[in-house]
This record gives sequence, C-alpha cells and structure tokens, in this order.
Amino acid sequence: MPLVLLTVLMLAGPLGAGNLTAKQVLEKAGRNYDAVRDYTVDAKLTVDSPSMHVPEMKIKVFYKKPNKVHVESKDGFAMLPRQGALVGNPLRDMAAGSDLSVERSERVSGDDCYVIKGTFQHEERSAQATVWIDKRYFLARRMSVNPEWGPSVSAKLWYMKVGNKYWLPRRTEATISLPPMPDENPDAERKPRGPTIVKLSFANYRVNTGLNDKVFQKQEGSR
Amino acid sequence: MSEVVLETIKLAKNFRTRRAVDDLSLRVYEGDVYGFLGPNGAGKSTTIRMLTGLVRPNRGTARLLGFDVRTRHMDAMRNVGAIVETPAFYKYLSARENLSIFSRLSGGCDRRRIDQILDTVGLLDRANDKVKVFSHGMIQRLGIAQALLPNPKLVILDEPTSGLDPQGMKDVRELILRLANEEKITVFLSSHMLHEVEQVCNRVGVINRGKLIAEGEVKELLRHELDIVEFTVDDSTRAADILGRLDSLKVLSCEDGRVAVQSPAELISEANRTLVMGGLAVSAIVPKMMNLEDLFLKLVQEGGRAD
Amino acid sequence: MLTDLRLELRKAVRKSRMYIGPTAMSLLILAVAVGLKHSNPFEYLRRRMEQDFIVTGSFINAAFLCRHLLEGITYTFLPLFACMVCGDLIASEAADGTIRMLLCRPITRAQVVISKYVVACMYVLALSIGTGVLAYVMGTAFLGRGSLVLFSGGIWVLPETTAIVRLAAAYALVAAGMLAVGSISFAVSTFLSNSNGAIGAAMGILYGSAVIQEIEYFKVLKPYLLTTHLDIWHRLFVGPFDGHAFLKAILVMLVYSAASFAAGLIIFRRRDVLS
Repeated sequence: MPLVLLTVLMLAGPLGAGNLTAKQVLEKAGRNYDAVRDYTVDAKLTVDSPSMHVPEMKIKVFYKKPNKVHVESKDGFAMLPRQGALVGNPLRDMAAGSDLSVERSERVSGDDCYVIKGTFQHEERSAQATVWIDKRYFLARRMSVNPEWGPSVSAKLWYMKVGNKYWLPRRTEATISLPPMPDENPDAERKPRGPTIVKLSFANYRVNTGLNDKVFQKQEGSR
Repeated sequence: MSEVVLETIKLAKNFRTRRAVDDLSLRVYEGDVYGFLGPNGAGKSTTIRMLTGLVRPNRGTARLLGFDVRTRHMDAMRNVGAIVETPAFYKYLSARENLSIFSRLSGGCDRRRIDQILDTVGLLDRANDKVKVFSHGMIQRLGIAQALLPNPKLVILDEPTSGLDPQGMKDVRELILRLANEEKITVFLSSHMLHEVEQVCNRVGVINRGKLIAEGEVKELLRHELDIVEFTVDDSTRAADILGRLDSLKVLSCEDGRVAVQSPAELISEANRTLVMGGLAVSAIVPKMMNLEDLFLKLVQEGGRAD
Repeated sequence: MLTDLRLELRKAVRKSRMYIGPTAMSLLILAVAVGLKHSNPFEYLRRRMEQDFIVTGSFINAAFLCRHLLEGITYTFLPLFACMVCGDLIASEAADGTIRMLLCRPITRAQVVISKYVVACMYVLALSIGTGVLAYVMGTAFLGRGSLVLFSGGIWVLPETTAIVRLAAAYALVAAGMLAVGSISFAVSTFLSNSNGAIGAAMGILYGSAVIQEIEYFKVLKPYLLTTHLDIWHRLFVGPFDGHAFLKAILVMLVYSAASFAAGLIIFRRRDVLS
C-alpha cells in the first residue's frame, strides 16, 4: 500500500506539472505579460553588426497593449531593428498558433524550461517558432523565430520584478540576419554580411500609468 | 669732384635676339639734373628698369648711391624714389592710402609728410578720393608724390610730364628745379620734351639703338654746334654753289634766300667776301643757335657720338 | 616682413574679389539648408530603413548638412574661389603695374612673394574652415543638431560630439587640399600678367589630374596626383581609421603647396618685370 501510494505520488508530481500542454503553458505565460497594459522604460541599445556602425544609444520605449510601440531617442537619432525590439508580449501571436507541442525540457540559465515548437500566423503569413518558457515563473527565456516575412531571430531574455508585481525584461539579446542596408548610392553592391546582435538593457519602468494613444501617433512603430 | 650717385658700367640687356641696351656706361653726379634722351625704342625704359632692379641685365653693373642694384637692392633703393613708365596705383584705394602703403614699404612716414607731399603736387584736396577717378595728369602727379616719399637723395623719373597740361608741365619743371637747387636731390629723368630738358637739366645723355651716343653738360654739347651761320642773299642757289666749293665749310641748308653753313668762325668773313666777289648781295649774316632738339635730331640721324 | 604682411592684408580686404567666395558659399549654404528643411531628398532612405527598423529622430541636421556640403564643393566651388584669389594676388598687380611700384622700393622680391603667399594661405584656410563653421551654424538654425548618419556600405551613426570632431578634421583636410590648389594658381600667377590665366591653368591642372587618375595607363602616377587625395576626408566618417593613408594624403598636399610656393618664388625672383 505504501509502495502504491509512493508510486502514485511520484507519478502525480511530474505528471501534474509535465502534463501541461503547449497551449496551457503559453496561456499561463501570457498572463504574466497581459498584466501589463502599458509601460515606459529607459533603455540602452547596442547594435553589433558588420553593416551597422552605431554607438550605444539611449532611448525611451513606450508600450501599450496590444502592440503599440513608440521609441524616442535622447541623442536625437536612434534606430532599433524591429525584430530585435522584443517589446510587450513576445508570445502574443504564438499563443494562437498551430501545431504547438512541448518538445522537451531544457535548462536555460540554470532554470528548467518547456521547449515549445509551433507555427503561428502574422498578417496572413506564417512563421516557425521555438520558445523556451521556464517552469517556475512561466516567462519566455529564449525564442527562435523563422518568419516568412523577414529575417530569422533568436533571442534571450532576462527579467526583473517591477513594483513587486510585474515581470518585465531587464535585458534582451536578439540575433538577427538583417537584409542589405540602404545606401545613398543606388548602384552600390549590397549584401548582408553576418548576423546582427541587438542588446537592450532596461531600467526605470513605469507600468500601467495609462499612456495616451497620442504618444504613439508621433510615430507608428508597431511590430 | 662730386660724388657719383648713379652709375652704369657696361650695362647690356638682350631680349631674345634684340639688343635693347648695349654696353651702356654713364655717370650721374650729386646735384645733377640729368636728362636721359633717346628716340622711341632706344633703350631708355629698359635702362631705367635695370637701374631700379625690375630687369636683370645680361652684363654690366648698375649702381645707385654706391650700391649694386642687383646684389644690394634694398640698400640701393632705400634713398631713391622712382617712377617707371606710367605710375600705377591701387585703384580701389584713395590717394592718401596709396601713399601710406608705399611709404611703409620705404620705412614709413607720418601723415603730415604725406599731406605735405600731396600739397606739393597739388593733390591735397583730392587725398581721400579713390585713384580710379583720377585723371592721367593727376596720376602722374601722384606718381611724383610717391617718388618723394622716402626723402630721397636720388629721384628717377621716367617721362614725368607725360599727360600733363602746360601748367602742369611748368609745375613739374619748377618742382624738379626746386628739388635740385633747394633740397639737393639728384634727378635722373627721361623725357621726350627736349625743350623742357634743356630748361631743367644741366647734363644729358643721348641713347640710340641701345648705345650712348652723347653725354655731357648741355652747354658744352651745344657749344660744339655753335659754328653755324646763316647768310641771307638774293640768290641762295648760286650762293650755296659758291660756298660749297670752299674748304672747311659745309653747306647745311639752302632755301628761300637763306643759306646755312657750318664753318669755323675765322672763315666766315672770307665766305662773305667770296659771295660778294661772286656778284651776290649779302643782306645779313646771322649766327645760328642750335638747341637741344636740333642736337638730338642731328645725333640720332648721324648715329654718331659726341663728348 | 610683418609690415609687408599687414600691408598685403590691408590691400586684400579692400578688394571686392575677396568677398565673392564667402558670399557665394553663404548663399549656397542658406539655399541647401532651406531646401533640406522644406523637402527631404533622402526620404527614400528613411522609408527603406523603416521597413526593418524603428527609427526615431531625424538624420537631416546640421552635421548632415556639413557632411553633404563637402561632397558638392570639394571639386567645384572651393577650388575655384581659392584660385580666383591666389591667382590674382601677383598677376593683377603685374597687369595694373603696381608691381613696378612695389619693387622700386627697398623690398626684396622674396618679401613680396612670401607676404602675398601668406595672405593667400590665410584666405584659403578661412574660406574652407569658415564654410564648415557657417554650415554648422546655419544647419543648427534651420535643421537642428544631432548625430551624423551616413549610408555608405552600411549605416554609420556618429554621435554629435564625435561628428563635430570628424567634421572639423574633414574641413581641415579639405582646407589643406585647397591650399595646394591655390598654391598652384599662385605659382602660375608669378609669371603671368593675367589672373584669368592663373585661374584657368590651376583649374585645368586640377581637372586634368582628376581625369588622368582614372586611366589605367597612368595608374603609377595615381598615388602622387593631388586629386587622388582631395577626398581623403571621406574616410573620416566610414570604414576603419587608416592613419597611414591620412598621413600620406596630408604629405602629398603639403608637398604640392611647398613645391608650388618654391617654384613661384624662384620664378618671381628671376623674371624681368616688363609690365
């Protein structure tokens, strides 16, 4: 009897956690991000790219659910690769995807993570994606996306708890294969040369302050 | 003996195949007003340019106040004022500003002196006008003014009265005489106005085809030419024929009842006697005074040399 | 010598020719600034960028104006205005006859040439660097300040402080190049009595050199041609810093300047002044 009970308890533990479907994991993760309706944050942006030679830029990022993003530069000019922005809920589209499955478990930065693969749609085009969601806080720790519409992205995210309530990225690092850069000389030969690494570090979050839509009308920066 | 203030020693200049100045040796002494004469293209301007260092001679030496113009140009020009051909000024500056600039290059002088010089040449009331509105005569006078700026011991003037009206010419003549007599400035001037040169210069040098053909005191040069006498007769053709047969007598001209001859003074009476014995009536015997113009033309036509 | 220099400056500032270049450049800069403010010839680049980037701020600013102005003036306006003045300093005095008046004074020909050359250098440097300063000031007034963004083999973004330093260095390099061009014109003017000839000769040498440097047959000459190095300033903004190339370019420009000056001095000292 005790042996049966022990066996049941042993099986119940892992089965109780490991039995979550990909959709369930994504929904639980989504609740972390959905708690945040809007935020403003200061960020430092560095871009390491063979075709972009830019210094570290100080920017201010504005976000409002579901997908409004606005960026302002303290240095007058800044440019942020769209695929490397990772602002807001990075799992928004994936949660409604198809062929979602939990492939395996994997450790990322010392934490056990569900590795979920699937296909999702964005504006009638599809993308293959793999996401690592940690089992403890259900936060996306790594992502890899191969979209039809643009370059592939693989990203890592680190988090901090803001106001003791909200999990928001402390640092992100995205590796992108950017297309050829525009050139003043239209006849110039342009070809991508190596990946672009976009690093963002965030500080001074101001969450759920009720950002006005007018902030985002200055410049549309949606993903 | 007065000090030599200007000297050329076998000065020569060729321009390609043309010999502009050939073996020119002349001297100007302290206190002289030296007239440098010659027809157009004789080499006057080239000589003056060599004297002022504008042109390098092929041979020979030019000295001003004892200094070689080529090797000691600054020392040579320090106490010299010069006009070479038409004076030229900065048209966008006033007369006073032009003189101020040139004076600074000669060691400088104050505004009072500039005004004094402008007054001397009659331009004080136009001192602040831009040179571009000046007439040719005014520019000429301003040229003389700039030559006087450095309190010179020697002034070299190339055609100083060119473009001036008769009053202006008279003023310049008087100025030259004043410079020489009162301020003891030696003047070396070239001019075509021979009667002017005769009035102001005590010594002249005549250049033709690059060579000096005559030099000396004006009076001495003209004295050589004083043995000319003009006979007034009733038949000048017969008179010329008779006189032409006499030795040591040269018939110079025969026209309108007058016959001019060159002859030593002691033979004039014999010439007269010969005419009378030949049946001619002699109504006048007049010694002819040759002037500088006559001398100049004679020398240039002959291409000879007289000392 | 200082007296001579002061007198040359005094004459120079009274000549209307000296003001043609600065006036023309001022009007050009004003036109470009107004044009950039009210139209954006580089809009296509921004739209292309916004396909893949979130872009904030404008790259049309004072630094941008300064940088792109250089493209248009390095081979055209600046050399022309430099030659107009440098080729006129001696030739015009020869034509007017005032050179006679100068040289009949206790002054050496070397003093005349040196003092005029110094004035020429001052003008060229003032024109070149003054153009940059004016462009930055006008650009700030019309377009504002900010980083310098360049699209050349990728995207280059230079922060404002870095951009200002690089732009200053670029205009200094252009000034050195214009000094060389002006020196050629100055040298030619020492044996001409016509400033147009000096200007034409120097511009002809400049453009002829630009043509020759592109011909394969003359490639052995290319490193020594002035025009090869006139646009070295490009490398201040993009690409890795090649100190050797900059030093070489500066050396070539200085050699052209020095050699032209020396040639002009020798010619002027030996020539007969017949005008």
